[in-house]
Amino acid sequence: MQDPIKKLLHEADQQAGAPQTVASELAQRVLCTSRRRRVRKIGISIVAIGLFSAALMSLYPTTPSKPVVILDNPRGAQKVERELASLQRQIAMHEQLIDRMEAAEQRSVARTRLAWFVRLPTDEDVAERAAGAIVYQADRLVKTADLTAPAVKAYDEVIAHFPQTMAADQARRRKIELDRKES
Amino acid sequence: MKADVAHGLSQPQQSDEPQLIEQLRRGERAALETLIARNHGAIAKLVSRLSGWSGDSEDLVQEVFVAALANARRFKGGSRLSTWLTRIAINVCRHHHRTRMLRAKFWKKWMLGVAEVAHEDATQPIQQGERIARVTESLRRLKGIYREVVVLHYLEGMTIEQVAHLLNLSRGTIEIRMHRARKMLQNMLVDVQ
Repeated sequence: MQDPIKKLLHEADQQAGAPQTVASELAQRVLCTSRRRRVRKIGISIVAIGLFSAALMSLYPTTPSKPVVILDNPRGAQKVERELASLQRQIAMHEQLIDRMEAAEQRSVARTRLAWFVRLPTDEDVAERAAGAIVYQADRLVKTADLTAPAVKAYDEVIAHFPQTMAADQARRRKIELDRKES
Repeated sequence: MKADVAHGLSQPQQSDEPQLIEQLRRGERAALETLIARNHGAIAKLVSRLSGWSGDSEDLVQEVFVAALANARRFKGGSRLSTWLTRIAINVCRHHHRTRMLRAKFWKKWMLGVAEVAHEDATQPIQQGERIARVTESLRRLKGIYREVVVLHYLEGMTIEQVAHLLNLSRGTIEIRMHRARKMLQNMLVDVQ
């Protein structure tokens, strides 16, 4: 015996008949709906991101409000001008210093390069030459005019002023020789 | 498998199903047309029954295939395409029913008079028509979880095990639901039987 509930349901199902759905162009409709929903989803995402960004920007404004206040306040504006002038002066000083350092460095480089080609006399060379010249003149005084006193004075000056030079050693030897002659 | 064939949801095993799914994932129109051609009839019948033979079948069938197209990437091939489509159809009908119930609740206060008139009009047809209308109305008034098991078991011809497998529930749960659904239908159709 068939279940009465099942029998009733089957009767209702038969009465309702086949569902009136059309398969033709269903694929087209499905594709259109699918595409439309995808576009809508993307649109909603973009709007959501825009709203979120706007909310963030309103919470954290990027433009500070202080400058407006300073411009409204003359004292504040003067203070800012003074600070600005001071900063400009400091910048100018630093620029000058940098210029000087650059010039010194350039000179140093140029001198080093020049020394390669022409050997410039150093301070030691000058002292040696000066001392040598004095000793030479003192020797001439002794040999030509037999003026021992000024010659000894010149030797002493060489020994005093240029003690580390070869001319100073020479002056010392001359003095010893003169002493021997006199004695 | 036996019930699959019996309730008409599936054709015999198609060897090109993996290829079809792959094409569907790429959104190819030809694959969609093939899928519709093979399953449209069975899905339309199931959706019509699950919605209580309402006139929304066409929209629901379209919704099933839209969902299938959108979720083709998630289909791992663990079951046959027809079974997968059946699950989608059940979910679509559940969603539709839920939406309709919410809408009905919202408009209940405003449309109460109209609804009563409609109910009174339904009692007017002849005896046979009235019987059918009462059965239809009773099936519609069943909660979704009970209507599903009744439709799948009685109208789609699935066994309890197959219904349990399809709904991913235990056999015991399906039996309980069947028992309760039968009780409710008996109470509603006491004067019709």
